[in-house]
Amino acid sequence: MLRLEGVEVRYGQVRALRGVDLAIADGGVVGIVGANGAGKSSLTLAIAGAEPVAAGSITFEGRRIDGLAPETIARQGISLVPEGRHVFADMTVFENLDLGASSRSDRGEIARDMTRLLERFPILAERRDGLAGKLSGGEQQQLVIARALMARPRLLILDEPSLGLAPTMIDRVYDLIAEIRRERGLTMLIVEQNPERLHGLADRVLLLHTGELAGEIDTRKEGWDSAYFGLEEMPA
Amino acid sequence: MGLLHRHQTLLILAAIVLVAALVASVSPLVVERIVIDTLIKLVMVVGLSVFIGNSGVISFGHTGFMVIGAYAGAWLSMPPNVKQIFLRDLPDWLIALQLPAIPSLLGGALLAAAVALVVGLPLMRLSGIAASIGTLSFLLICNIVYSHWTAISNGTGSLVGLPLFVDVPMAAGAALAAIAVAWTFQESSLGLRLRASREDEAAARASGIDVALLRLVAFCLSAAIVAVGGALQAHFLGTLTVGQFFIAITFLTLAMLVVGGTGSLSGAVIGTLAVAAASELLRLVEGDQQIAGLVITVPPGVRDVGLAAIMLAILLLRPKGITGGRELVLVSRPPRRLAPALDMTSRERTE
Amino acid sequence: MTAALQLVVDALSVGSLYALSALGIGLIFGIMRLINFAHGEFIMVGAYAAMLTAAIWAPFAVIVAVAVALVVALVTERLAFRRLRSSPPATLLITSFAVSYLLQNLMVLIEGARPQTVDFLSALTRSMDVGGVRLPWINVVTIAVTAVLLTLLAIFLRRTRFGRMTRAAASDFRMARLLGVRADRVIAIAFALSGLLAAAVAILLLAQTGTVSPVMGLQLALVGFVATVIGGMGSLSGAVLGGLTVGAVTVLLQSLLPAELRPFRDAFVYGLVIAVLLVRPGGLFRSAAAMQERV
Repeated sequence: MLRLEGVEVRYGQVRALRGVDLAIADGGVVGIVGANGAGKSSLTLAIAGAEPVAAGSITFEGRRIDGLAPETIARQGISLVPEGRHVFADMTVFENLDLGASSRSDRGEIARDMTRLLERFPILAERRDGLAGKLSGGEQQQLVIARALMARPRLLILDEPSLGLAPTMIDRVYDLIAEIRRERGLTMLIVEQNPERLHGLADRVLLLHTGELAGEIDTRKEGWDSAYFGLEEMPA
Repeated sequence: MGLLHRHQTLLILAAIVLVAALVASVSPLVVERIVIDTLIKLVMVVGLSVFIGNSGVISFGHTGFMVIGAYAGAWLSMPPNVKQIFLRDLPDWLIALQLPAIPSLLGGALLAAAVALVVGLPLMRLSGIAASIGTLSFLLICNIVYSHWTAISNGTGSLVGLPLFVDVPMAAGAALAAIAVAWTFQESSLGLRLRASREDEAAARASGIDVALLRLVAFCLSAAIVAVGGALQAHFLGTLTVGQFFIAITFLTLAMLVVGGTGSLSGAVIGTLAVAAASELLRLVEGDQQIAGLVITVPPGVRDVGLAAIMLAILLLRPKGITGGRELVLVSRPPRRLAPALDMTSRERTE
Repeated sequence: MTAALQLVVDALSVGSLYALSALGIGLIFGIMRLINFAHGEFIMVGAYAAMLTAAIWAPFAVIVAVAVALVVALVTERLAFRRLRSSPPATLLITSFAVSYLLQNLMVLIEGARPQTVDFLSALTRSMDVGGVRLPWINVVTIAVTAVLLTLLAIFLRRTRFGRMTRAAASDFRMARLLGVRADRVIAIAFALSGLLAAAVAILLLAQTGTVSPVMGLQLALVGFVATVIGGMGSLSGAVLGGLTVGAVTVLLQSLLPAELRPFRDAFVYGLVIAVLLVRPGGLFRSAAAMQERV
């Protein structure tokens, strides 16, 4: 469904991603882990069209999407939940969700999806008319995932959904993600610092190290020092 | 790397100025006046570049320093009997004072630098856009103050009788001095640290660079240079009006800088020459033109529209300007390394 | 008491014009981080359009002013700003300054540099008597028109889909695009709204002063920028409040300053602005939400 070939992302002289090849099959869930600065966010932003691709190609359902505007890519069926949540703080939960459907025009279905999502996320239903900026971290994370689902995406990309959240909150978020997986069979790309959470959820977990995909990880292995992936500590 | 190698840009730019001066001295009066006027603009644009080029903050307010420099220069240079007529309310000692050309110019520079210090203290802490709007406010303030404080300026009327001491040697000398000062600042560690902040403010601050202070230094220095330019302009024309230094010259000097390429001294020089040339060409078009037997009156304003169009074209097609932000060199030199300077600052902190 | 009422109405009237200016600028700044110098020229062009058609029929002149300002705003966006969207803020700033200068001098070319006067809705300059207080009709109309426009704009922004998209884009442009909000459309909407607001200011100003000149936009645009900065960059309500504040301060100074200092009134206003920025660099009314980082 999604194929990256030789993708490079540059910031000036610095190559954040070099020659990344990746393929995600329809209905698959792929995890990407890596230390800070490894290029995880560059990868997600490049796929979503928010960062220009300096070299290589990105193909989605047979169509080239690198070089397209982010809103066009969103319309193709890719939803990115970027790192750091990014709710529209001055707008209500309802408005945030409604904006998630910006790429759609079927008003009736949008309304139905809204109702269903609010049922699925009771906390959001409670705060429907409250400002998104007042929600807690965990609640905001739920909001942005729900918002992304409003687009009825075929590929959902989650960039560090556990960032800045308390462990119990992370549990809840990942239960949610697992349920969404079961209910909808959505194709997903999840980027994390911590590979443990991806156990049982992801079909494959890949390691991103200084801009390159450096191999697969067995998520059952223990004792990961997630912040300091160095070449010396690479898995066997 | 030899001294010559490192400072070849300075020599190249100085050579350009000298060539212009030579051309002027053997040309008819019309051409001579155009060259002098261009050299004066060069002083202004170089001054502008000391701030904008090094800090990356756009300033619309430097024209205010032209006003300050021009009037201060006039207070110091005009003969007392003329001052008695137009500027009766100046303090007696100032009316009685009459200084030769260079002290007058320097007096203007000094006053401008002092004002820049006061105004810059609050402004330099602001983010880029807010600071730019702040400088625009400063320009308006200068315009209002000098327009209505008739005691110091003769209000919106003209001051006449300024000594006409601006000839080719004076203009060229000022241009050379401005370029030398600008280059020295740019290549100094102060200038280098300021340029680092231009690229990435957050990183620079994290490295211990006091961005606001560096910007203030550049602001004051650039104010002084621009003020000299303003004083030269006034003493070239012999008359001084507040309206001379407002939006039109702000636009012209910014256009010269942008067309040449913000961020490099060579850009300031090249841009000034290029835009001055274009401006003269456009001026030739104004007035009555005979085209294919028809007489077409080209109204005034074509020149300004033309300049604006040129500036927009550059911004849209080649935003980095003619020089692309690089300096003119004959033999390429390796890029200056900021790292040693940073290491030294961090070492100083821990020791 | 009567003097106080007069002052309040004056302050609101001046503040209204400034608020409309600030809003026109704030709308575009919020989304594109572009300070649109040309906004003053949108106003100027609208005023000239009204002036040239005033003799035909006043309401027609109003329509023409709105149409012309709209067209100029949209064309400016399409030709000058669209290509530079991802440029650094400094480039955007200089470009808008160049556009402003171009439009100003085009008008000089077409209509000449001298100010021109026109009788446009001059009946409004008469005053009405409210309990001993003389209130010029134009002041009341200005306040009323502003209130209506702000209400309509608020309804548009809060109750319509495009309005929500515009607010989202102003809050976090990149995130909005990632959700499918079309950048081109939102920016065109912002410029169109900006043009409408500019036309309103043009008409009210023309009724008030009866004069046009190619440089008439500068003062209003500057106040608009200043109000936007004081109000907190990127906040629409902040821009409105900033405009009202600057208006109030202007009127207050006008009445409080001794006669010899009155010509310097605007210098004091700008001086106060710089002083405010020294103390609160983020603006006076900046909300906590505005501190959120963009994607």
